[in-house]
Amino acid sequence: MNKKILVIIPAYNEENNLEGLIKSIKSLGNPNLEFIVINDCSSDRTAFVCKSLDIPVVNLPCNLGIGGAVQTGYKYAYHHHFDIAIQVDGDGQHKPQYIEDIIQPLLEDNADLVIGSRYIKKEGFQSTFLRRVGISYFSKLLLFLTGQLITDPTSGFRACNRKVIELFAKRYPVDYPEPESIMYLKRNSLRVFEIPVTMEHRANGVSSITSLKSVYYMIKVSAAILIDKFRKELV
Amino acid sequence: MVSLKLQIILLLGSLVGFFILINLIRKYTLELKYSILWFIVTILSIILAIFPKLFTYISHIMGIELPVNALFLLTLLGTIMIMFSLTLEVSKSTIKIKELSQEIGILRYELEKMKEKDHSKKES
Repeated sequence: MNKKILVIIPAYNEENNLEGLIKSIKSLGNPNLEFIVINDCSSDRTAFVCKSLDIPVVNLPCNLGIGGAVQTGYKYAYHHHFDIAIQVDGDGQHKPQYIEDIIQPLLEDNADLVIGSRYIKKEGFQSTFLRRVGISYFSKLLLFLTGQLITDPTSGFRACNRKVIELFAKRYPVDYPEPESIMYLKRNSLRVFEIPVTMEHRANGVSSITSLKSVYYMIKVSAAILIDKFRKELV
Repeated sequence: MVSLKLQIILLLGSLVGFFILINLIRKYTLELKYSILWFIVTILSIILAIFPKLFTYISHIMGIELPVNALFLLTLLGTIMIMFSLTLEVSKSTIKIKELSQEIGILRYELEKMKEKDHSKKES
């Protein structure tokens, strides 16, 4: 069973983190595994670093935000007939050694989307207190609306099968996409599954969510999830 | 009643607006699709400026005592409608720009890959 697998690495100003990440993905030694960096119009030398290290990179002509960048990866996966796509953040938070675990439920066809969750075994970097409050709020909101407990709905460490690649290539939320996309998949009665992973503190650089923006984030994502719940059409 | 002064201001304002509009369309700056809405607005305001009696009539229908207040209310509603249609257009354009950027990014990557392949073929 030779499934084509694509690792999507959205990167915005990650010139210092990419080399290490790519090295550890390559060290997995999986011959079916390809990877692509989506450079979301970084203002640093991300494009140059990718070129000089010969990393396959899609350079976006203007900054689209995380949702638009990740969707570019899904569109690429869709056009090139990949069977499985994995999202790994370019900041070094997600450890590539879990890639094999995260695609296992997809290979066995037990799930359509697999999320790497920090909060199943509660090991490793657990994020700040306030961030955890926000995450558990989204988790409860999704539990209420979908009836399934997702312990880490904001995790960007995820893998999905062909069916979900097609959906995501067509439509993917824009600003803070992860929790909303779970609702979107559940509404289309697809199977979401979580596996335990540990995450690192960001290696370099700063998170895209600052404390000032977090209130806006909570309101916007809540609204997005609620609106999505009441959408009728499938896609 | 609408005073003569206000009537003149309205008439001059809407005439100037009308000629700016015509001129922009003539120079292909304004797309006809968006200009039709403004055409209706300026023509209506010209008619209203010439026949201010209409205000009295409209305000009577709407149950507003002063005709000037009817003018303000209608202007406000019209502005809100135009603003909303603009928000709608901006949203549509944002989606289009996103789709185009993604497509350009992917195409550029594929083009570069093909160029490299071509290059290595020529060398060997």
